Amino acid sequence: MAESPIIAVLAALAGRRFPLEDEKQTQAAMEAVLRHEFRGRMQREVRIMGGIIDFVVWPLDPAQLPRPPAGSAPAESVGANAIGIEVKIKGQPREILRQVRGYAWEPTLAGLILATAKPVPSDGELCGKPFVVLDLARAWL
Amino acid sequence: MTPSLLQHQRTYGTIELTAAGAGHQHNTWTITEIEPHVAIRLKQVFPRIAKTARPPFRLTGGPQLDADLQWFLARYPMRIDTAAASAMAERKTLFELGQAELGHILSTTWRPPSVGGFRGNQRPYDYQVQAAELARRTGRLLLMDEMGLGKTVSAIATFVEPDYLPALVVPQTHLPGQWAEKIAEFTALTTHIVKQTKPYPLPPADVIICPYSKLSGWIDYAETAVFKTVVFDEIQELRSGEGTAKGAAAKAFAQTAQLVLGLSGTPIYNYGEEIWRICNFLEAGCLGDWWDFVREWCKPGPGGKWVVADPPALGTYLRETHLALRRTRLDVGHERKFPNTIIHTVATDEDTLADEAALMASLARQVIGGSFVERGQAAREFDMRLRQATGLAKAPHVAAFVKILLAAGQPVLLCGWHRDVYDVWMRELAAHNPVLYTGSESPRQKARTVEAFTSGATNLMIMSLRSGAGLDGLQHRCRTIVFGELDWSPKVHEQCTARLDRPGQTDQVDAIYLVSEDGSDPAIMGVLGLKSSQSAGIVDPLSAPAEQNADATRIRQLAELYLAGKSHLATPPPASKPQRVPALEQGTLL
Repeated sequence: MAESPIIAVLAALAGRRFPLEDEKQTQAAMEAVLRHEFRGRMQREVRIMGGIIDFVVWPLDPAQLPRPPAGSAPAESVGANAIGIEVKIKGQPREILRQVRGYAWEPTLAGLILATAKPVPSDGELCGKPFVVLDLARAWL
Repeated sequence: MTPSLLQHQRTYGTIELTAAGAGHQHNTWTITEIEPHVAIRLKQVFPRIAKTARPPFRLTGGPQLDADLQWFLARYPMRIDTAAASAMAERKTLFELGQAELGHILSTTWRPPSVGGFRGNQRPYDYQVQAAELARRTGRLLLMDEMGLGKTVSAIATFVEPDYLPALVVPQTHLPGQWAEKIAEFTALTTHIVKQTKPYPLPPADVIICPYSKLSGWIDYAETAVFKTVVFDEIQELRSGEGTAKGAAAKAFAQTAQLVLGLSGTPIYNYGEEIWRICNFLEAGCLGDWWDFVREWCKPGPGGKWVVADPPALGTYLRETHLALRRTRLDVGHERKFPNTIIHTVATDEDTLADEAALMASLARQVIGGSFVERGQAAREFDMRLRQATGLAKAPHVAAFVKILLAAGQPVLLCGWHRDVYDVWMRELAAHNPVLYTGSESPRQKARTVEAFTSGATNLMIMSLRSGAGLDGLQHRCRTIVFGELDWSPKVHEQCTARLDRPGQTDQVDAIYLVSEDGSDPAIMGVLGLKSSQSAGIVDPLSAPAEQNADATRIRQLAELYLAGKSHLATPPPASKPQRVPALEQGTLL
């Protein structure tokens, strides 16, 4: 059975230790990992419904997926198996969740990952899409 | 044409060499006269001269001081007699040569000198001599070697020769005996363990061992005792700085010593700001004054603390100035695998948390809206109660998890914090004859606990999170540590894990964190992440953070066997007594 796109992204990020002092540094370190794991199949700071999300990744075999265009991607071109990743190391959990919920309305995202060191609850779904909270603090234990 | 002021022999004051030290020993310079505007400059360059001080100004220090003074005199010439001027020049050269040598000591081509003072065939490892040599050359060192690499022997190698004696070793409360044993095992040096906080005539000894808990009483003894070497073991004990009683005493002893050595594999327990206080004990002002440090290196963090904005940059600076040294097991060729970290979510008893809910809500309101004093008290009590309630709510589930391991005959070191939680574990796991090693047991009871566990009389030792630092011997018996409660400091967990993950351990250690999705655990985990991130950057600035080893295969297999009623299949062979390592190997192993 084919691996789900969200699991593929989680497998790439789980257990990695990202700096937690500054969100920009966290994003830069995560970008390096995503670029290494998914090569050209990721974009940083993508404008979608609800705002600008930190990363969009197309984790599965590129032969089976539409390739993202070069440069900034307009919302309608984000591929069907795209996973959005939002990095948050500051802020109130409620506020963080509100922001991510806005991204979940983006029709072309197949799932969402919130990478955070804050205790944000998740019941596995947001607006009917798979939603996973990746606890960045856990990896530091 | 009028010659410029710099061209004629204008002087701005007078400087004298009032006490000369040989080699790398300290010189004392006295500036007897100085023009006011130059005094302002001098105080900026040498902040150890108080802003309010009036001449004469005294400066005492090693060759670096002479080098700095000569640089200052190039800009503001002072009257100085010929002999003193040439002494200063010689010491400046000595400083420059010393800097080159320090670089050489850390190079791969460096060969250690022979170390005298060790018994018979006992010898320190080359990397231990390297640390000792660096400390001797610089007069101060924060040795941050990974736990289990033998920092104790590195310290002994530093002070083993007569030039560095008498020495004062300051360990944690439960470790003076272990220090005395190690010193006796490796050297012929005599030791005395300080018995009480109230001073009494000390017997003649090469090494005085005084635990942190008793140090404050001896503060007035610092000036007359004049220990040439002072070793602060687990120097994170001083992370609260000079404002505490033990900190003030530590400072007094450090100031009079010619060599100050700080030991800790985990120097930063909480946020990066702690490194400033720790380094100040080694060399006053080495990171500037507090506000310099905060302004240049830090940014505001949680709870009014300061976090270091760029930990790797600070860590690199500490290495470049030879103020800190860190080696890991990979650097020195140890082949032990890094611990396997397993984070497992356990259920909680909702009733236990609900019972406390009303009181917690009241405390929470006080934390937010009370007066300054009330907020502080309420916050502490809120933390204490929520952690305890979380520990209690998890306790039966933690016990159930540990039963799976015990059923398979696996020795387990179970760590917690609250007495009430221990009570639940003791009751639930009574069939397995648990033994306690916590803050409530006397040193003799603790020794019996360790004996019962290491001899195989029991497979379960319950240890307080903060009682185990430095404890040795468990690694021969056990490879599994379970955290049933969390500490606010990630390095406390690391210290506990290092009781098993150290030389002598033949298996990869499994460190199992049993966490809940309710109560205080989620918030604590977030804080632990930031604190670890701070520490990793400062302590290991040159390497990217290692990935977490997380392989739950073994634990899953044990659980499957348990469910199938076949746990006995996983039982290891009967524990053999730890074998005594021949003296020759022991010297290098430790």
